[in-house]
Amino acid sequence: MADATCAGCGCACDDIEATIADGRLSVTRTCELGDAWFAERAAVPIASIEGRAASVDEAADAAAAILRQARAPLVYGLGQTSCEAQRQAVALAEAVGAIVDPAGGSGAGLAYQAIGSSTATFGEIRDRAELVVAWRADPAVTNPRLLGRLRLDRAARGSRALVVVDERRTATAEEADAFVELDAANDFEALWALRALIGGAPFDRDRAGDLPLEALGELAKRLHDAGHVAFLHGAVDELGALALFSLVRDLSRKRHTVTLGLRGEGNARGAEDVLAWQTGFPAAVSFARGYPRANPGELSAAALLERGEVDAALVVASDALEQLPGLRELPTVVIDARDTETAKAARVAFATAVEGIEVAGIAHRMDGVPVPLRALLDGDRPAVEDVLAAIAGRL
Amino acid sequence: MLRIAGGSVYDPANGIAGEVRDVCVQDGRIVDDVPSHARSIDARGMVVMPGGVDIHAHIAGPAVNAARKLLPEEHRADVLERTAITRAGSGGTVPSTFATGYRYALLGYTTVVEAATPPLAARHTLAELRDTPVIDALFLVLMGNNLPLFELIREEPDRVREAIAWWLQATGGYGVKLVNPGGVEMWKRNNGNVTSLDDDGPGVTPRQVIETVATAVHDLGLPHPVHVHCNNLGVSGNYRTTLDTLRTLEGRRAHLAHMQFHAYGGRPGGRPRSRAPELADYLNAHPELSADIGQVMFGPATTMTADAPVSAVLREITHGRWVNADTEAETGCGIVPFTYRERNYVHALQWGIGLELFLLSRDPWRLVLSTDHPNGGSFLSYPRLIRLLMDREFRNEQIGRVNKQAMKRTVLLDDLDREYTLEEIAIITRAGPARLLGLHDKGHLGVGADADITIYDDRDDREAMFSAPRYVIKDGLPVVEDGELREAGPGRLLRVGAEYDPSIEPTLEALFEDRYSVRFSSYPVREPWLLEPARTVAAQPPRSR
Repeated sequence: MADATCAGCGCACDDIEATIADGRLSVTRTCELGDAWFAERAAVPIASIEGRAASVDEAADAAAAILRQARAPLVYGLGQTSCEAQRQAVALAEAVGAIVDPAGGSGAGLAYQAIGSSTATFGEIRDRAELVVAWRADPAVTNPRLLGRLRLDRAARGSRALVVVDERRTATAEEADAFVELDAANDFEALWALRALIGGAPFDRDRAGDLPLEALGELAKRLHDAGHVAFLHGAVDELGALALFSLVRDLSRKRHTVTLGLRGEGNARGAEDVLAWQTGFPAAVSFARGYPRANPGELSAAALLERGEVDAALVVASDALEQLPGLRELPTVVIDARDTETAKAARVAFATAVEGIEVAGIAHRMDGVPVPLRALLDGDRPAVEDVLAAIAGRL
Repeated sequence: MLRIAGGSVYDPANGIAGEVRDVCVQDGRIVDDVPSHARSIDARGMVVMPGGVDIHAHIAGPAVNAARKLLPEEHRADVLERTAITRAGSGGTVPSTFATGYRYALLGYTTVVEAATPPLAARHTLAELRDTPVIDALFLVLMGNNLPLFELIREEPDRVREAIAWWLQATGGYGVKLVNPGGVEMWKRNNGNVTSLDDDGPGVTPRQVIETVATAVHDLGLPHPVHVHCNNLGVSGNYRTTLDTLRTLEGRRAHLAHMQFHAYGGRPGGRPRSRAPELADYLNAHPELSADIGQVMFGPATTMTADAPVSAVLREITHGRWVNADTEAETGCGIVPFTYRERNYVHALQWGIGLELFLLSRDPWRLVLSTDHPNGGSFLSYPRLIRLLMDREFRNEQIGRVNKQAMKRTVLLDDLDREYTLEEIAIITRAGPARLLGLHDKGHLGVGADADITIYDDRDDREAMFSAPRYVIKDGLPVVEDGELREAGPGRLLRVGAEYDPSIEPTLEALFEDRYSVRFSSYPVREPWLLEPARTVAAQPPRSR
C-alpha cells in the first residue's frame, strides 16, 4: 500500500491509497474523476510527428524547429502538470519570446488586482465556516470530494448551512439547505443587492428587475447572522468577481469571511503561482519584447487567436482545442500524458508519463496548499519536464 | 583563486576596521594567501566588506506571491529584460524571484532570511527560493499560532522541543518565528485579537507560547534564537507589550523583529508617541537580546504579514487593496499596499523612531538593519538608510522636510551628532546579522569563511556608494563586476539540523488528524530538488557544548 495524490481535479486529494500488483495500479477513496485520472492511459507512441511515431529526439527537433521559426508562439495549458514542468514551460516561453497563458484561470484576476480578496485553505473552511455559499459553483460535479473534505455532506455538517446560488438546481443544490435560482447574467446585480441589503444602504426594489429578491433577502439574513462565512465560487466574470470580492470585504468587517475559487484542473492554481513568481503576473504574459508584459484582455490566448496574432503553439497538458478551436490552423506541439483531441491534431505530439503515477512533482491545490505527487509505478515515458528541457536544449 | 589587493578591509568579526590588506580566495573560501598567478582585483581606494546578510525580509512563499499578483502596475513600471545570463522579470516592492536574486546581489547582499513561512507551505517557499538566484537563503517557520503546538504547550510542554525539531526537519527551515502569538488564531476565530500577554483566548496565553517556545529553541541549541514579532504591532502604547515580552524572554536568547513597529507610546486608538529611548535602553542592558529595526522609508511599500488582524486595520486606513489568506492550524496572512508620506504624522514618527533606535543603540552587533522588506520599504532603500545613519548633514536635512509635530516627539531635533562609521555599517549589515543567525561561515573574512565579499568604491555619497558595489564575490566567484551582473547561478538553501526523538511523530500525527486537510505523510518535504543544493547548520544543544 502506498500513499498517493490524485491530480484529477483542483482538490488534489492526498489521501488516496494505492496498491500495486503485477505492475498494475488500484486505488481507493477516489471519486469518478479520480478513477479516470488513475486509469491506464492509451498506448500511443511516446512521440509522433504528423501522426506517425517518431523518436523523442526527432520529435524534439521538430518541436524546436516550429518554435524557432515562429514569430509569435503561444504556450498554453499547464493546468494538469506539475509545478516543476510549469516552471520549465515558462522558461521555454521566455526563451522563444512566446506568450504564455495558463488554461483554467479563476476568471477573477482583474477583480483581485482591483481590490484584493480574502481566502482560506480547506481546513479553515471545514473547521470554522458556519455558512457556506456555493456561488455559481457545483462542486458535487466538478470536484466531487470537495463537499466531503469541507465536511459539508448533509450528514456531517450539523448546524452549518450550505446555500447554492446558480441558474438551475444543480447536484450541489440537492445537497444544500437553500437554493437561490439566479439567471447567469445577474451575478453583479445580485451581489450588489446583497451588499446593499447587508449594509443597510437604500435599495430601490422597483429597479431590481428580475432579481429573486425574496431569496436574496433570506440569504442576506443568513450572511448577516453568521459569525463565519465562506463562499465557494465557480467561473464568474470579472464584474461578478469584483462584486463578490466587494461583498466578502463588506462582510469581513463584522464576521470572518473568505472565498475560494474552485479549479477543475489538478494544478491550475500552480500554473498561476509559478507564472506569478517567475514574472510578477499570474496570467497571459508576453515575452515578445524580452521582458514580461501582461494584459489579460489583450494577451489572453483566446483573444490572440481570434485576432490571428499567433503563428505556432505549444500546448502543455491541456485539451485546448475545445476552448481554442483556432489551434487547428496552426503548427502545434502538444505535450500531454493523455491522448487528447488536441494531441491527435498536433503536428508534433509527446505522450508523457503522468505526474503522481510514474513521476514525482508538486501540485498546488485550488487553495494554494502544495501537495506531493508521488511516483508509484515505473514507466518508460519521459516526464513533461524532461520533454520541455529536451526542446529548450535545441533552441 | 582570487586576490583582492590593496582595499580598505572592514571585517568587524575579526577586529579589522579599514586596514589596507589583501583578501585571498580559493575554492569558494577565504584563505591566507594565493599564488602570484591568481587573478587579482585592484581594490586600491575601495572598501572591502563581507557580503551583506539580511536578517529579516519577505522574499518567497505564498504571501509574497499573493502580493506579486496584486501589483501589476508596479511590475509594469519596472521590468527586467532577459539577457544572456539572466532571466526576465519584474521589480517594484515585491519583485519576481529572479529579480529578487539579481537585485540583492547587485546591492552586495549574498545571504537573505525569508522571515515568515507557514510550514504547510514550505514546498512553495522552497520552490521560489530555487528560482531566486545567486543569494543563499534560509527561512523561518511560523509557529506562533500553531494549533497542534498549542495543544502540546498545554498538555505536554516538555515535548515542545521535540515537536519544533520535527517541524524544522520536515520543512527544511532554519529557525522559529512567532508572529502575534495567539492573536492571529483569535482573529481567525472572529474573536478580535489578543491585547496582552495574559489573554487566554486560544487556550494558551501569548506568554505561555513565548516562554515555552523560547525555552525549546534554547534547549535545542538552534543557531538562531526564537525570532519574535510581538503582539500589538502598530498599536499606540504597544511598547508596554514589547517590554513585557522582553522581560518574559529574559535570560534566554531572543531576536525581536522590526522593533520600530513595537516602540509606540500613547493610548490605544490615540496618536502614537515615541518610546524608542526606553526600548533602546532595555536592549542595551540585556546582552542576550537582539533586534532588527524595521525602518520605514518614505515612498511605496507593501505591507505583508502573518499578523492578519493588523492588515485588517490597515485596510480601513488605506481603503485600498487588501488580501487575507488563512492557513489552517498555522497562521493568517494579510497584504495591504502602502505609501509612507513625509508629511503624515504617523509615518514621519515611524521613520523617526527607527532612526532613534539606530542612533541610541550602543551595541550595533545586537540592533541590526532591516526595513522588514517590503513592509517598511524595499531592500533597495538600504543605501539611502545607510546614508541617513552615516551622514548627519543629510539626516538633518531630511528631518527638516518631514512632519514637524512628529519630529518634536522624537529626540531627532536634538541634532544627535552620531554618525555611523563604515565599521558600524559593516556590523549592522553583515557581521551582526550573521552572528545573530549563528552562520559562522558568513559575515566575516577570516580564513575558512565563505568567500562572499562586496567591494565598494569609497565615495562621499554613501547612498551612491552602497547602491552600486563595484564587485560582488559569491562563493569565490565574481558575480558582479564594474557594477554589472556577470554570473547568475543558483544560490543555496541554508537549513538547520536538529535531532528529535522519533516518538514525537505518533503524537503529532494524532494532533494533525483533525486539524489539517493534508495527511501527516504528505506534510514533510522529501523532494530532493527542493532541498538541494543546501548546507545544514547543526544545532548545538547546551549539554553537548
